[in-house]
Amino acid sequence: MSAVLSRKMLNRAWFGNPVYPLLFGLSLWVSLAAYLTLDSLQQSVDDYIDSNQLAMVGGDLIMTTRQTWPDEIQQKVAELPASDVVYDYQFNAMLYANEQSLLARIKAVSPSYPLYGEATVASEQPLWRAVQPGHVAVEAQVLSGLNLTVGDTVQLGEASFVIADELTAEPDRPLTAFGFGARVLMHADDLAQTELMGQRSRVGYRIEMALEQSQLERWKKELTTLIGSQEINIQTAAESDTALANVSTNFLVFLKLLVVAVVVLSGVGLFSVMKAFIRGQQNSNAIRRALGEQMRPIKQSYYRLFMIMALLSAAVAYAISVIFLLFSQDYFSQFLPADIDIHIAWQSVMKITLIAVAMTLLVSYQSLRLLALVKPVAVLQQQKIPRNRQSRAWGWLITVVLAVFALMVIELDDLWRAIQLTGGLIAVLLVFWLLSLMLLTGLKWLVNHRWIKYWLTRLAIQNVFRKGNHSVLFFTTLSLAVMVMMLVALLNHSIDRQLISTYPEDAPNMFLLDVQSDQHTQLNDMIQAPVTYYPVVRARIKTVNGRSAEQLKDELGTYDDISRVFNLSYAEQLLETEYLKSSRQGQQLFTDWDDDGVVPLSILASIAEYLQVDIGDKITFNIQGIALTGKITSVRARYERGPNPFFYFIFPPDVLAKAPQIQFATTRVDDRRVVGLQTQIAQTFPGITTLDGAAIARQIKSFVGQLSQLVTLFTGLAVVAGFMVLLTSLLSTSQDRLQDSAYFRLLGMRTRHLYAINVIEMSVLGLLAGLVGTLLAVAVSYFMITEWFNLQFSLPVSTLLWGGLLLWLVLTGIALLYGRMVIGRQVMQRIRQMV
Amino acid sequence: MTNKSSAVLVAENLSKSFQIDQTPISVIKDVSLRVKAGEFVAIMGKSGSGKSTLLSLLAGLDYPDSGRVLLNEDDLTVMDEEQLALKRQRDMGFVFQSFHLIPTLTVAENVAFPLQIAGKPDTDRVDELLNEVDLNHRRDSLPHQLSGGEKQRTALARALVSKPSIVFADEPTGNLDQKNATQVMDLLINLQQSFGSALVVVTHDQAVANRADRVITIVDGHTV
Repeated sequence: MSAVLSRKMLNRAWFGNPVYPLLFGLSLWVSLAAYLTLDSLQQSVDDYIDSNQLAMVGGDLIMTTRQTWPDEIQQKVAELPASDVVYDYQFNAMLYANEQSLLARIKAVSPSYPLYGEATVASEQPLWRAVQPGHVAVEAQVLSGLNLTVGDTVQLGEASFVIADELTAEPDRPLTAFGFGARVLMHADDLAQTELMGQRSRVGYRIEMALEQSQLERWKKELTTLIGSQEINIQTAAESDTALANVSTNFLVFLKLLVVAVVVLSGVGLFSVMKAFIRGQQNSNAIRRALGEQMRPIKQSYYRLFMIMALLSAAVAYAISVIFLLFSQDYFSQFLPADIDIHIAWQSVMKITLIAVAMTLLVSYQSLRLLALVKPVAVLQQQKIPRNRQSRAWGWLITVVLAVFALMVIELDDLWRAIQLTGGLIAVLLVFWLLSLMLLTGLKWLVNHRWIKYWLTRLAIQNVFRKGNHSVLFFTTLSLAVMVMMLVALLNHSIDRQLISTYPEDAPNMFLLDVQSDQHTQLNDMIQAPVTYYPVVRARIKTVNGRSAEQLKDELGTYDDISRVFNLSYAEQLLETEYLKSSRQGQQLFTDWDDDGVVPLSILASIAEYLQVDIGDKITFNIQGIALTGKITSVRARYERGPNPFFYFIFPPDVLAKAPQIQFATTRVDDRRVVGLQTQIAQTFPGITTLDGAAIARQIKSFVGQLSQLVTLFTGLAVVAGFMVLLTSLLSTSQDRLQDSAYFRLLGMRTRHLYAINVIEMSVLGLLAGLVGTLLAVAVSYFMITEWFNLQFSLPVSTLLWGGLLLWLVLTGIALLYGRMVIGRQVMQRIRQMV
Repeated sequence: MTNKSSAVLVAENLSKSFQIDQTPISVIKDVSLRVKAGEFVAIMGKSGSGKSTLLSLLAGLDYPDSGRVLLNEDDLTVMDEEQLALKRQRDMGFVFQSFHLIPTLTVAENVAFPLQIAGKPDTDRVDELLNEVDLNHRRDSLPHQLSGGEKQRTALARALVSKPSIVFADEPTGNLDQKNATQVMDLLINLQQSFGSALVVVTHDQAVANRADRVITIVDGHTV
């Protein structure tokens, strides 16, 4: 029965002061809405993949390779009906028409394409009515890029094709954000007339098969036997990765982890709000105890209120997420298939409700420990409820850590990674906490030892250490949030400046692929600028110091993939962009070994570190079935990263000059000549693909820019969490501050000084936290840019200054508003009470 | 009829000290007293004499360093906080100098609160008390809407609504003007007598003390 009045009492106290429910809500709404949005996106993507996996990968069983199909494979596949098999060839090539050229991604398929899903054209006619031999379907970008329309002719290699229609959708290419080159779909039978295939270095060969589930394993087994040790990959649809799955498991999960960190930080804000409210109710709590109410019903009344707020917050988060998804569909369509059904999944709603309830319960438990401080005796003679220190609740802390860990496990679906990330998060929070304590202690020392002399500043800084002020919490949260945001901004700035916005002046801006040796002279004449030719021999690593690549794969880090195809090269001298880090003999790239069957090998430092090898170690390569063992004689390093070619493994010319190889070339020409040269080369040498470095950099910049925006948006939420802590801190100390202001006023302090105390206090605290976060971000990004990316570090001074100014403006705004609301109106009332 | 011969409250050899800057300050020194059922006892003393501390010990709001307090033969000094809360619920009423009403409950709700805590809601009883203290017309007002006298009358009604064995009042007229002070004391004494509750009042107001059945004076922690 006492529950009824207890409920009324708390509800009126809570909702009667809208600041409490508002701050509670703000702590939860934004982070929960962000989590719900991302989780729903991920769920939508996963649902799409589940429904469209077959269409996205093209068949029940898929084989891929970089070489022509062996006869035995083709004979085996021929056992299937033609309608159940698609031969798919994909490569980059130059299209040209009307004296213009365009990089295209060619896809030549046999008429049973697609086995699953639908490829559509703008005229809505059946695909194979349009893409007859001699005809192609092209993406809109081809039409706009070459100023063509349907019915026009376009040149590809040695052949001309009529543009039959505009290609609008391909079931196995749902994402367009990750590819270079506009799509051209053609009949596989037309490939021969282009005369491009023999010269292609980067042709992707695919065979897609439609099979009954009952036949799948048998066919996979038989084909695997036929493949043997050839470099052919075979996977079922279920085993195949897609770019979309990678978006889901990598990018979306990364954003979600950011949001998980924000959710944890918003728990801090929540804690502040609850603590401030309970402190404000301590007098009522003492009365309740004095009147004989027991602790359990008192606690239950608080739990009930906070649980209702948690559920309401989950509902509001749902509404925010719905609105956000409604208005941001166009934005996400750049990373997701156009036909994906983005919806709020009920599982995601359950998740955030559970998170809201669990977090609120955990935080309530800790906040309600304050009730233990309530001594009924305190109600006698207006004794102040003591703000005593409470003992650390280790059990509670462990529960919180376990809860965060559980969330990580759910997100990552990997126990070990979850342990690493949870540990990392705790370590980072601890470091910032200790840093905050240290700095604020230092500040206190400065004040106590009169290093800060101006009376107003001293008063303001003493306020920072007022009991009930959550200064350390605010400092920790804000500095951490600023650090993450600034880190993203600094990385973006350095990479953007050096690689993207300002293309390096001395770096090549044209890249030519699939050059033949007998084309050098004519190319040099055409380009009329120095051209560097790089031979490329493709190979896989068989063994490293006798241990197989399969064995090593799981032991090595994630820097690279030992099982992939590598580009070997040969040269007599170092590239201009490299230097010798170490050598067996002096400054020599190669020296002969006495061992039989080994040849000298020069290796790049980065891959040497990954493979854990050094001078004297052996790496055996498989070059189209032939083994070649190199023994390291030198280790090279690059001066800095940039758009210059490099090779992990270089051999002396006599080792690989006769090996099957392709060449690519680089050159630097006037930017204005690039487009014209591309067309000229495409006309003269249809087999050569030219890449405009600056154009590619622009494309990357656009894509990276969009990703950065999303990351910045979500890390910005952490800053919001930090400000929640500040606001609740002000709330919990408002009576004490009011009392002080009343004393100051009584003694004659002027209004502007009363306001200035708050402004100085918050500015010092907030700007110091921002400075700490920024300095740490600079240090970490410096390390990452120079050591990981091998670029020059660049400081965006104006961004930092603007950021600092914005932070100061927000802090000042809060201080002035607070002063106006609390002090301005009530200080005279308080003075009258005192007299 | 009240039976004034039986002791409802017995305090034996109470002592209490506090530590200020690690120096022990003895506030109550070996105090013993008895309060009979229905009796009005005033505790007087100068500021800092220990009278409020004594009240907190007698009311089970604090623990003595030594000695014991028996309320209806139950030893308060061996009870834990929860047991004391239960005891306060059943046997005690409180009136404070600063009123200490729940700010978000109305007058009627404040008066009803002790009954609600005990699980015995009784709207008739609440109405009866409101009439006794002449606050029926203010039953729906919140504390901040009341005058000092009205607040204290609400507190009186709350203290007596559950018919406690004893009512403790700490400077009940301390924040009131003369007129209201007299009115409040009149009400307190009338209600206490009609309900048969003992009354222990801490006061420095001689006028209040003059109305008591017995006055206990505290000087330097001792009774004289």
